[in-house]
Amino acid sequence: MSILEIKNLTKNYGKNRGIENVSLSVNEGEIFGFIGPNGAGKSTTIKVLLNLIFQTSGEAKIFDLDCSKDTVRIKESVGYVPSEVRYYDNMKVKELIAYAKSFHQNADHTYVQELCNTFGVELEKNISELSLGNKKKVAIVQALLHKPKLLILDEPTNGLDPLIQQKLADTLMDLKAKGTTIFLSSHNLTEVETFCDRVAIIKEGKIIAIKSISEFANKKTKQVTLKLAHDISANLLDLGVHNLKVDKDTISFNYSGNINSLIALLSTYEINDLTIEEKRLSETFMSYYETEGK
Amino acid sequence: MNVFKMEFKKGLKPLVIWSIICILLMILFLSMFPSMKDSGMQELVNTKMGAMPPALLEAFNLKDVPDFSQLNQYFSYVFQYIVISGYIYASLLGAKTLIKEESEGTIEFLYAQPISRTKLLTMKYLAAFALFYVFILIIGCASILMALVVKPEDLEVFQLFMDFKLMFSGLFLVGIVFMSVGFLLSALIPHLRLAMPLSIGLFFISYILGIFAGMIEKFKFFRYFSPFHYAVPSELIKDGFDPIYIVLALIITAVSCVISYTLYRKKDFRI
Repeated sequence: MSILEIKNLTKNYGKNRGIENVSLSVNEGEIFGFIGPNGAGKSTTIKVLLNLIFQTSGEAKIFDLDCSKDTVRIKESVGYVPSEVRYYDNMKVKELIAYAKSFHQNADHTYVQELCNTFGVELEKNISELSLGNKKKVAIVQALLHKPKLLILDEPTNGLDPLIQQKLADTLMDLKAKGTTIFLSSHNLTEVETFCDRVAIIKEGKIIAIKSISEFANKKTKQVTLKLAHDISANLLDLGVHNLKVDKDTISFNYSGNINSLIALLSTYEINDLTIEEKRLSETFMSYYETEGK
Repeated sequence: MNVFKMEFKKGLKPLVIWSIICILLMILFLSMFPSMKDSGMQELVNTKMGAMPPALLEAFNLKDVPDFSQLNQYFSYVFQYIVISGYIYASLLGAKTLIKEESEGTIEFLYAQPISRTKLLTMKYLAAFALFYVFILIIGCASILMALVVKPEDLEVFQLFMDFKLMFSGLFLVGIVFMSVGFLLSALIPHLRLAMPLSIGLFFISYILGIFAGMIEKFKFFRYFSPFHYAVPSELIKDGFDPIYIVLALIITAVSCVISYTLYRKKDFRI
């Protein structure tokens, strides 16, 4: 069942680019990554989902309800962490959390306390004293306190220290296991690689690919570096390697073809040194939207 | 109710500041009354007033030279300066509430909660309304107390109360007009930094139009554009409310509210 459904969503911002014909759907219980460079339209899409802005055309639905007409009912079961957290400065953290709680009937005190402990939120502090990362922690607690069915995260790890990033990862995995659907927008590709089941890549306001992580994994590329006395560049190029670089006796290249053919070729030469690394998925993404977007 | 409570709480600090300013102003003016009462002083004032051109007297609402030895008349004259501060407070209350959340980005938190834009606006409006009402109660009580201290023996307490009640009702009615227009501004303007200059500017432009209306016969209708002149304290205690102005005040308030709701329910938040 799809929890979130966007069809041909367009938002024009006058002279600024918004988004154009964005379509995607997120299934119940999955972690869906939404990646793209800064200004690609990630936040614009999220703002339409939350009815902070209205679309120019197209359709956005959450739980099969219209994002602008039924926004109140939708938000009863949606948690949101903005990329840039801005709260009322002259308020204590505990007051803000109490305020957020007051909007929901099902927020239970022990769970909120648990979340605060997990993320090390200091309740007695004033909002204005908090650093970017600490505000983000409050935002995470505030987004989770009513146990939402859908969690929308806009660059959630931005500003968090590695320890808290790990705690967030654990919490997200835990929530996923309990059936929560997560829509994760990010330009941190490693983050997406770790968490997501499926990914949509957005560039210049348009979706350029939607794939499952395993599909990307099949296209995995090996990065090979070898040292030998002969120059075998021509043979390697025949084999279909790319990004070939020769530096004295060192040859490095990327290879995504059949690994046996490569080994067969190399075995005919005297090799001094060989490393074969798996290119990170995040680098694959990167090349993906660098080339296909053009 | 949670939004109402939060808005009211956030508004308490400015409320206290504005109340203190107005009370200090009043103490200053009323402390001068005992010397005004002195007949020599009254003569002096009258001579000076007589020498002023009528247009200028009109501009300061002194056309029918008030008898400054009478507490009611003296107070009604000085009260207009308190009223001006009250109206500016009311316009700011309105003009800041909506746009502040957008310019400071807090709307992203608030509107991610299950609450409709209509309810949000209503709660904010009611909170501003309540704050302004409390402001009137505070300065109302303070001015009555002070008036009782300087009150001459011959003035009846009942009459004093009735006059004060009338003047403060005028302040409340017209204050709500300015607050509603402020709300409309708040739904329209693109940034918080415009709220203060625009709402104060709007007040003074309308005020000056009202003054022109009194000075130049041809522009008499300008008075309708100046909510301040719907309830000038010194005229109120003499003639009471003019029903036309009450109707006008209610119409402006209603129209501003309707437009504010329509705009706010359809607008893209600037964050």
